[in-house]
Amino acid sequence: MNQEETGQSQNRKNLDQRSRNNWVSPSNPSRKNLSFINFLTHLHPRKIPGNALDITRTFGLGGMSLILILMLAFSGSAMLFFYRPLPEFAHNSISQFQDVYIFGSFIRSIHYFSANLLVIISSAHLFRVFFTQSFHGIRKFNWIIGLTILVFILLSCFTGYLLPWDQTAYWAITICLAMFEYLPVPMDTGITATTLQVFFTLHTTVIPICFLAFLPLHFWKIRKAKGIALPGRDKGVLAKTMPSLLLRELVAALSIIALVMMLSAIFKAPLGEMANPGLSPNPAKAPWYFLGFQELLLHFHPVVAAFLVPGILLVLAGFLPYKKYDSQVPAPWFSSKQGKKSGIISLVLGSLITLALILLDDFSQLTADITLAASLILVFILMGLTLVYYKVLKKKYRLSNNEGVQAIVILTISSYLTLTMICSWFRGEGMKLAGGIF
Amino acid sequence: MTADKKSASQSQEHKIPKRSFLKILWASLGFLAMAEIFVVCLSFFLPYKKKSKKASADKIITAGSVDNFKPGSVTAFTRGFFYLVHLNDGGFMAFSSRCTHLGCTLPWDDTAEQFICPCHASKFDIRGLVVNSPAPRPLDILPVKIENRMIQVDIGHKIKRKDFNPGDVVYPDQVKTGGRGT
Repeated sequence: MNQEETGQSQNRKNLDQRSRNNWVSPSNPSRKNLSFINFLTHLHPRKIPGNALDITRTFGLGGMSLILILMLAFSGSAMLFFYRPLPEFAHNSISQFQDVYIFGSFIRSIHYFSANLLVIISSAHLFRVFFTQSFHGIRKFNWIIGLTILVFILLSCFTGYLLPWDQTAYWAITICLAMFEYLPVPMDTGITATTLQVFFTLHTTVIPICFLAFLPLHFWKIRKAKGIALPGRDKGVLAKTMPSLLLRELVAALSIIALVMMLSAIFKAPLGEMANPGLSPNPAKAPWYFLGFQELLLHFHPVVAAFLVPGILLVLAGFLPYKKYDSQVPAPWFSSKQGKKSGIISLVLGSLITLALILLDDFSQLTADITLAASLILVFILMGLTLVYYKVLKKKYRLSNNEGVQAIVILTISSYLTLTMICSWFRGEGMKLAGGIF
Repeated sequence: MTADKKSASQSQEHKIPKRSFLKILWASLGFLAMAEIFVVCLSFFLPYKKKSKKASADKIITAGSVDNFKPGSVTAFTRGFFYLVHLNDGGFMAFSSRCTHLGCTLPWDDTAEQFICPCHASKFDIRGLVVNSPAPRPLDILPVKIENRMIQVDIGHKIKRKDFNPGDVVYPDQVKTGGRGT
C-alpha cells in the first residue's frame, strides 16, 4: 500500500526524470538514452531462456549471415560509384577501382570474400536448423522463407559473377546460360551487352529489394516463435537479453567481420583478363557452388543435371518440415546416439558411392552420349535405391523417421560435396579427370 | 423439434465442404494471378519484333568476294561470331562459332580439319556435322546470300538443324538464294 502511494507520487514528481531515461528498469534506474542499443533491445525480447545463450546450439550462423549481407550491401554500394555496366568499360572500371582508388582493392575483396562466405555460412545455418529439428510447428513456413532467401543469395552470387566481365566470368555464365537452350523453349542464350545490363540491375536493385522484403519477415517469424528452438522441457533460467544475448551476438558479429577483414587485407579478389568471346578457356567451369551440378552434367543429360535434379532437391527441401514426423519438437544436435551413428554412416557412404560411380563412369564411359530417357531412368533408379537404404537403415538402427530423413539428407549433402570437390580439384583440360589441381 | 435439430446438423455438414471449396477456389485464383504476373514480367523483357530496315541491315555482314576464299578454306569472322566455309565443290556455308553443347567458342583445327571444342572435346567436320559428342546437334547455320559474287551472311537468324541438307549450301552461280533461312 505504502509502495503504491510512493510509486504514484514518484510518478507525478519525477515525470521529467523518467521521460529522459528511455531504458529504465528497476535494476538500472540511471540508464541513459542509448539509441542504438535501444534499437537492438527493442528488436529482441526483454528476457530469453538461459539455454538459448549456449553458442553450440546455433553457433550464431544466422546472425553471421545477416552481417555478411550487410557487408555486401556496404561494399557493393561503394563500388556502385565506380562500376560501369557495359562490356567495353566493365573490366576497366573494376581494375581502375582496385588500383587507383584508396581502399578500392580492400573493398572489392570484402565484397568477394563476404559473398563466398555467405554461401557457406547460410548453408551451414540451414543445416543447423535442420539437424536441431528447429522446423516443426509454427516454424514450418519460416523454413520456406529461409529457403527462398537462400535462392536469392545464389541468384545474387550468380548475377554478380558476370559483372567483372573477365574470361572466368564470361565463360562460366556462358555455359550456365547455355543449359536453357536444352529446354523446349526457343531462345538464344549468347551473352550480350543486354545480358550484362540485366544481370547488373538484378544484382544491384531487384535482388536487394527481395532481401529487404524477406529478411525482416524471417526475423519476425522467429520472434513469433519465441526465439530459437530449444530441446527439452527445461530451457534454463531466464536471462536478460541486455547484456547476455546482445554481447554474444556482438562477439559473433565481430568474429565474422574480423575474418572478412583479415582475408581482404591479405588477399586480392581475382580479376582475370578481359572477356574474349572468341577464345574459350579450357576448361570452362561454373561458379564453385554450381560445380556439383556441372559434375552431374558429365554423367547425365543436361536437362536432368541442370534442371531436374536441382529442381527435385529444392522441392524436397521445401517439403522437409511438412512430413508427418514421429517427433515434432526441437531436439539436440542430430537427435540422438543412433541419429549420430546413422549420420556418420550416411556421410561416409554418400562420399564413397559417389566417388565410385564417378570413377566407374570415367572408366567405362557408360554415360557418354546419354539420352534424356536413359538419364531419367538412371535418376529414378538412384532415388529408388535411396529409399531402400532409408528403410534398411531405419530398421537396423531403430531410427525414428526424423533420424531416417536426417540420414538421407546427410547422404545427399555428402554426395553433392563429393561431386563439387571432384569437379573443382580433379577435372582439368577437356573436363577430364586429372591428378589433382590445387 | 427433432426435425429441426436434424436439419440443423445437415446444414452444418453442408457448410464444411462449401468452405473448403471456396478456399480452393481462392487459392486457384491466387495462383493464376501469380502466374499471370510472372508471365507479364517475363514479356517485359521481350521487345516487339519490328522488322525495320535498319535493324535487319545491321545484322548482315558482307564477308567479301567469292574469289577471296579458296576452296576448302575455313575463315573465322570474330565480329559476327561465325565461320565462312568454302567447300571443295564450290559451295559456301556459314556456321555459328558456338559449340552446340554448352556455348564455348570453337577453334578450327587445320591439321585435323575439324572444329574441336576446348571445353568438352566435341568435334565437328567442315560441314558442321557432329563427329564427336557430347555435342547434341550440328553447328547452327546462318543464311548466306551471294549477289554479284559478293557473299553476305545474315547473323540475325541462326538456324538450328538436326542433319545436313544439300539445300543449306549456297553456290555462287545459283539463281535463288540458299538455305532454310530465306
